Amino acid sequence: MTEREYNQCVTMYADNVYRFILKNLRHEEDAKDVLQGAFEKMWANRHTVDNEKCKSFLFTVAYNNMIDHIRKNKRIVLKESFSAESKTSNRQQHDSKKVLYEALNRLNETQRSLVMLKDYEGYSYEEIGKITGLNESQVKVYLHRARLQLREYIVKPENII
Amino acid sequence: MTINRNNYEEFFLLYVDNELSAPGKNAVDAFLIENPDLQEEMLMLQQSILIPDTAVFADKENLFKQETIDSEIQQQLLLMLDNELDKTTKEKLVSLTKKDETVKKEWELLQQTKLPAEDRIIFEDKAILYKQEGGRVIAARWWKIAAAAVVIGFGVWGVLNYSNRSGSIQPGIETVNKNSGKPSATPVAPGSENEQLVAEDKSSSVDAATAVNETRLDKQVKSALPAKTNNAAGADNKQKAASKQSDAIAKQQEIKSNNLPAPLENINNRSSNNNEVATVTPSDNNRKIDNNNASQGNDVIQPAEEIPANSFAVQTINHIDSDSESEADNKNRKNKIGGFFKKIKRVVERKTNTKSGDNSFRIANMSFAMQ
Repeated sequence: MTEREYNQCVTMYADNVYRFILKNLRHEEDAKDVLQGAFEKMWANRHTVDNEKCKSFLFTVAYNNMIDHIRKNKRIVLKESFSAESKTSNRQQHDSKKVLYEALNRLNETQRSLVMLKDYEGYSYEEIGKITGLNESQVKVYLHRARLQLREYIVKPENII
Repeated sequence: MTINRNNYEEFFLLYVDNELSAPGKNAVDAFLIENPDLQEEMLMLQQSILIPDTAVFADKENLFKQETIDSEIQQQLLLMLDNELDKTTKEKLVSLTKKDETVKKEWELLQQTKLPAEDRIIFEDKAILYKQEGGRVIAARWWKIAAAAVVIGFGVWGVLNYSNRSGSIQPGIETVNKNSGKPSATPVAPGSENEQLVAEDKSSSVDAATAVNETRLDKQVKSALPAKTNNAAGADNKQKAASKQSDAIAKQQEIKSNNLPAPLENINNRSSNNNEVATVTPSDNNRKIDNNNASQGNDVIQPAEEIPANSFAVQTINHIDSDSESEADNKNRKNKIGGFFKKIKRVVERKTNTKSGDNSFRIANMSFAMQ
C-alpha cells in the first residue's frame, strides 16, 4: 500500500469505521482514539496490507481495539448502558428509528457489532467472521438471535407507535 | 365412630371443611342440638373459612398467543434479510410471503430490524489521519561506496589528465616552433609535430646524457629525479630543458658528432656507466614512447621531457640500489598497473606540489605498486 492509497483509504473509510465504533462505544473521544489507533496500525503495516483489503483490515483492527477498550472500561460502559436503559423505559416512543436504536443498544457488543457490520457495511457472514474472529455459523446464529431480540423489542406494546 | 364431648373438635373441623359424608354431617347436627353450649364454637370455626373473591385479570390479551411460523421459514426469512439466500430459495420465500399472512407479517417485522444504511456519521478530523511518507534513507553498502569512489577517482583523474594535456600542448608547440625557427601562425600537423618532437627527444636525451657526463654522479641523481617526477614544476623544467637543448645544440655544433656512447666514456666510473648505458638504452625507449604517442595522437612534449629523465633516474638509482631492485623496477614500469600508479603519482605530485626526488618516497611507491 502506497502513501496515496493509504490517504485514499482514510477518505473512503474513516467515516464508516468511526460510525461503527461510535455506535458501539457511544463515546466520541473514545471512538476517535480507537479510530486513530486503527489507522496508525494500518500505516505501520502499510507494506504488508493489500490495498483491496484495507477496509476489512481497518474494521478488524478497530473491532479488536474496541473490544480491548470495552474490557478496560467495563464498569463505565455498564453504567452508561444502564442509564440509557432507564431513560428509554420512561420515555414515550414516537420514532421507530429511535426504538430500533434503543433495541440495538440493548444488545451485547458482539451482537451489536454483527448487526452493524451486516446492515451498515453489507459484509457477508464469512467476512464478518474474519473481522470478529468468529466462524461463519457462529456469526449466523448470533446475528439471528440479535434480529429476533430486536423484533421482540419493537413489538412490545409500550414501543408500538 | 360416634361423636361425644371428647372428640367433637375433629368432627367440627371436618364439618367446616366439608369433608364429612352426609351421615357424618347429620351426626354432627344432632350432637349440636344435644349440646347447645358447643354451638358457639361451631360458629367460630365456620367464620374462619375464606370466601373466594371475584378477581378479574384485565390483561388477558397479552397472554394470548398466536400460532408462530415455522422456525425453518423464520430462519430463511432471516437469511433473506441478510441477503445470504440463493436465488431459487429466495424466489420461493417471496412467493410464500405473498400467500401466507403470518409469514408476511413476520417478514415485515424483520425488515424493521434492519438498520438504515443512509445513517451517516462524518468523522471531521480526517486531517489527523492523513500521512506523508518521509524521504527514504538507503544505507549504502561498502561495495557501493567503493564503486562510487572508483568512478569518482577515474573522473577526477580523467579531468586532470585532460586539463594537463590541454595546458601543456601550447608550450610544446611553441618550443617546437622555436627550435624549428618557423612562425607558429599555422597549426602544426600532428605527424610532422611528432617527428619534430621525436627528433627533439633524441636530442634532449643526448643532451641529458652529455650533461650527466659533465657532472658528478650524485649531482646527476639530484637533478634527474626531480625532472622525472616533479611535474608540478613542469614549466620550469621545460624552460630548463629548452635551455639545455639550446646548449646541447651549441655543443653538438662544436663536437659535430651525435654519437651517444662517446660522452659516457668520460665519466669517472666507467665500468658502471658503460653497463647502465648498455642495458637502459634511453634512445630506444624514447622511440617506443614516441611511437606510442604518435599513434594516440597525444602531445609528446611532456613525456619527451620526462621519460629520458625517468630512464636517467633509473640509471642513477641503480648505482645506489641493488640489481634485484632495478629488475623489479623495470617490471613495474612495464606492467600496466605500475604505469597506472605512476600516473596517479604524477597527478598527486602535480596537485600537492611535492617532489619525489628522495629515494624513500620512491621505494614506498614501489611497494605500493607491488601490492
